[in-house]
Amino acid sequence: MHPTVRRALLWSVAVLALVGVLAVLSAVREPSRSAPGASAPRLSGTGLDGATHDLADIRGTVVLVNFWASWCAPCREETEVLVLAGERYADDGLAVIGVNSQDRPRYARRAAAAWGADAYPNLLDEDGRLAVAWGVVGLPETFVLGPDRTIVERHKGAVTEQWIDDTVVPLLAEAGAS
Amino acid sequence: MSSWTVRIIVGAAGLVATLGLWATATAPNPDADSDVREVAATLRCPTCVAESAADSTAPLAAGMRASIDEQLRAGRTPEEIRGWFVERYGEQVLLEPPRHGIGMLLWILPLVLAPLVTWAVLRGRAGPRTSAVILAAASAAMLAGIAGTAWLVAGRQDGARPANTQVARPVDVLQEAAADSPGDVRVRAALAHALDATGRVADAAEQYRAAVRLAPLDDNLVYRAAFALSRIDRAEEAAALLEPLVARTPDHAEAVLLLGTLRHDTGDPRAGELLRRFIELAPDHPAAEQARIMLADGVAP
Repeated sequence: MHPTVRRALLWSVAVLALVGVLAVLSAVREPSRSAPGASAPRLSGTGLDGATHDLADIRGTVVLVNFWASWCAPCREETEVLVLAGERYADDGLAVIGVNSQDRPRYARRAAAAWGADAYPNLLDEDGRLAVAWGVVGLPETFVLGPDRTIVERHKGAVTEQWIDDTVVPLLAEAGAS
Repeated sequence: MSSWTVRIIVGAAGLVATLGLWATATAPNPDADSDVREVAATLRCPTCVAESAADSTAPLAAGMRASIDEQLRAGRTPEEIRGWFVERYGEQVLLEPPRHGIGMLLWILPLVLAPLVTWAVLRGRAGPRTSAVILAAASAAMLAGIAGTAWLVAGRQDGARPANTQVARPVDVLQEAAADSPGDVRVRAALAHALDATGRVADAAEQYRAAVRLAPLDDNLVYRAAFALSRIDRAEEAAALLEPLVARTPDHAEAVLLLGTLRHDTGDPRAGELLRRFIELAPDHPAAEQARIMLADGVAP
């Protein structure tokens, strides 16, 4: 092969490889509105109990926003953890709000009553619009909001008592100390 | 004409005009769905493998379409809506590289590199004049391709579609509707029913399964999916659908019977309990006698 041709081809491959790497890096960039550090998107609407609920009205220094559905088996497992945490740390400023997403209201009500999720407010998100606005990919997913309602942490999958101890309790202590 | 007659006529005209405006404002806009689909087709469904938000039956894709619809109604442009999704899901939500920044390079570079490489390859063999001609020809071909694509896209956006003069069959209409609204469980169920009615049980089973993905706790839908599967010898899949159904709704007589029958066919001793329960639930059901016969077969423990 002629040296000029080879050089041209090599340069082309090198440029394409560089562009490819940059494209991959740009594609995996974290979203800006649903990532830790961002202000929590708005969250309001009708609840499973028929009342209107709004995140802005939720008291609590730390708020857990939990997206779940009655058809999601891990959601059932984590509900007990959330209910317990809500009860145990209520005086420390923890509030829990659920968003029942991509579900039928009657199934959601049945599940909430059976699992104990009716211990805290739950918004109905039948068509999944709220989940999309929060950048949720799969259920369950839980967001931790700080006192200024910015997203401090997001957890994909079922939360555990260990996660509450490691993530939520220190935040409550920090908020209580300040 | 008396003043009262005039008032009544003016009042009636006002009422008709108001009703007309209200009807126009609330009438479903036939273009709205296609606008939603057009934007959704450019977005990746984050929970799917290589499926757009327009084509996916995943619940999240339905949420994305609902959100697009809401934003279009609020007057946001498709580009603004795509930006809104990028803020929440990152740029990987876009099915095509963005036409700015590094994404723009991905569009432009192949167009620049292809003629250059052609030129570089041929320069050594042909004279400088010939290679310049080749470079010009390659560039012109690229530009013609781009212009042609742009013209085709513009034509598509004008909504130029051939008129359908034939009377469509229900299955075809429903298939189109399902393609347009893949997240609509009622359309899926209707399509499955229509396919079933025309004897396309395997296709019906697939549609029922898609509908069940959208509404996994709809007992009747799950039962129909299982019934279709059982008729195409996919008994194991049918039983897997029925087991949770029967557990959560133990009085769903048809589901109890079908699961009992499937278990009876495989010699599973648990069939007896189900068949007895079915007879208790629906003693006058046309299939009750058949259930008694199966019980007499000796499957009961």
